[in-house]
Amino acid sequence: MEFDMLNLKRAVRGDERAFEALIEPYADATYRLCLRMMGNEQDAADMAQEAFLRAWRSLSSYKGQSRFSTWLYRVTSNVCLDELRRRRRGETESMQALEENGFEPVDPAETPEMALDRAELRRDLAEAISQLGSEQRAALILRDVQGLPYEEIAQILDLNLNTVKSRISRARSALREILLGKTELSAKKRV
Amino acid sequence: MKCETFENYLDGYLDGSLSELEQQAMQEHMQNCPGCRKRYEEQRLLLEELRHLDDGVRAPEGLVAGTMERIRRERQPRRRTRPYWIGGGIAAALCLTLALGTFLGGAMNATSSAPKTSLMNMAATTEMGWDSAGGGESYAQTEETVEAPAEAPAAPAPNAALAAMDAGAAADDAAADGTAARSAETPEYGLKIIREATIQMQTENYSEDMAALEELVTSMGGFITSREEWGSEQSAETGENPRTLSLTLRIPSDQLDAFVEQAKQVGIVTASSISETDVTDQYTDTDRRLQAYQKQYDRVLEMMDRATTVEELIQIESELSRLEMEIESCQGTLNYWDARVNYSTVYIYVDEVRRAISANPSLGERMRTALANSWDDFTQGCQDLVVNLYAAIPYIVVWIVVLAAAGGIAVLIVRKVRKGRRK
Repeated sequence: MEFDMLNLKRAVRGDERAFEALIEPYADATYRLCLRMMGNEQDAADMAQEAFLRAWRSLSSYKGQSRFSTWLYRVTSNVCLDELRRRRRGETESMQALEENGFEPVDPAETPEMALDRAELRRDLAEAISQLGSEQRAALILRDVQGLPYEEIAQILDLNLNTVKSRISRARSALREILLGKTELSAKKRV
Repeated sequence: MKCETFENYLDGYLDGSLSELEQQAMQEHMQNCPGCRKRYEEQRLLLEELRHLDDGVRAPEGLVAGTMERIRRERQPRRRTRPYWIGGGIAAALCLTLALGTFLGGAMNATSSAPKTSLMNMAATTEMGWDSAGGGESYAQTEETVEAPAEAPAAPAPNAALAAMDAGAAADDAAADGTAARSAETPEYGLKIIREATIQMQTENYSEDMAALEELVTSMGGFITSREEWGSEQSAETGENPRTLSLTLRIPSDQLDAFVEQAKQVGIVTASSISETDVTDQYTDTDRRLQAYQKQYDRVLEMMDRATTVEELIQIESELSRLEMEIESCQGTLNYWDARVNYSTVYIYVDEVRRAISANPSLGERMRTALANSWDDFTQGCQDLVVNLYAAIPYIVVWIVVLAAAGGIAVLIVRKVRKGRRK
């Protein structure tokens, strides 16, 4: 991308307009990542801004060692993870809270039907994602929602490839358990 | 193939990263095992839904514009930014003169007007000498500004008059939407104010200064929550890839002012701000909700003793667990706010520089710095001139060829015309 390189050079020199042109194409992707990481729109918008701001501040450290989008994803996921870590000190983990309230992860052997209603499923999915641990969440979003290759995710999260693979695999089964747990709870309610 | 193995290979199968043989084994297993076939279908559906989860999601209007607004507001003085060269030596010479002019202007300002602001301006102009002249001013404005986020009411220092004003506004609110009247006094636990500080600084002795900073944090009972470093030590020696550090830490709020003061002694501070957000209203609301839920919980608990049928018991129990969750969530929110109120968040951004802009230099120091800076600029300008002249060779060659050709043609035409006249 020739255009990108030109704007990048200008932005590194301190040209704000060039930086604006540089990040504009990534606004949606950045916001989506923040939305899934933070779980609500207000926080997502805040974090996306924070991510761009941090990108601007540390732009001179981007030396083209990876694709710009990879670098931006890296900054964004760090911003979200930092914020989540900061909050965790004040709040109980949501999974923990759930388990204290009688929620038990379901034995994968028994598989009740998953919700088939599309809209409902998506809502459930979004909620289930927000219940994952933040590190697992980041890996799962990048792979399964954003559809990035494992190699790129390894660069973004600064992990080795095998760690990424196993983290995503664990995140998927955790996600499945949360979803199955939910349908089972609602099945109980209906009885 | 066992079902367990199937499970382990499932991700790979769905990613398409298995060998042909493995794929065949997976397919064969699925044909014979309805459980695993269902498992595969479910996982495929799950991944498909995940992949399309955000299809309709767009970034909110003004996300980028809002960011740019903040960048302009908080703009940090960047290190000696060079303009985007188009021409050759003329541009270099012009800029050199310009920079020298701004510098001289800044130095003269410094002697005549109030010391602090002019110093800041000068720092900005020398640092941003190649940039637009407006940059210096906007940067000086960010110094010591106290920002109140738009959604929160303005949150000044907790003095009595303002507290009464806030409480009055709260009472107005309550009257307006007809909810239970809130008390017009400060709640028993005092005002809940979240304070945050941002410090931007430069340092010449990166390692030493950062160690001092970390020691300061510990000595004040604070802790670092995140630390992100860019650049490397190796290249710092050549000045090519200086380190930048983004530090987030928590400091007991009563120490915040002292911490900011002392942190300012460590490096050369280029900008700092403290913001305050008043969450008293939200805190009081949540606290009231918590109390209401707790009362309700006690009442339902009493009902349990009087329950006669199993159905009633189940109903009561589900109500109890709902209330428990509400209570927990309120408690969590209160804890979160308490933590943020008791421990202030401080964001520190550090740039490693070869020569920091000194906040309070002596005349001699300033002269030395000025000379060193202009020598730097001069040598850089000379280098740029040479580089740009070198870079301009293709243009010069092409233009010479084009001009020569044009000249040749012109000469030919003139000769022809003259010949024609002679005839």
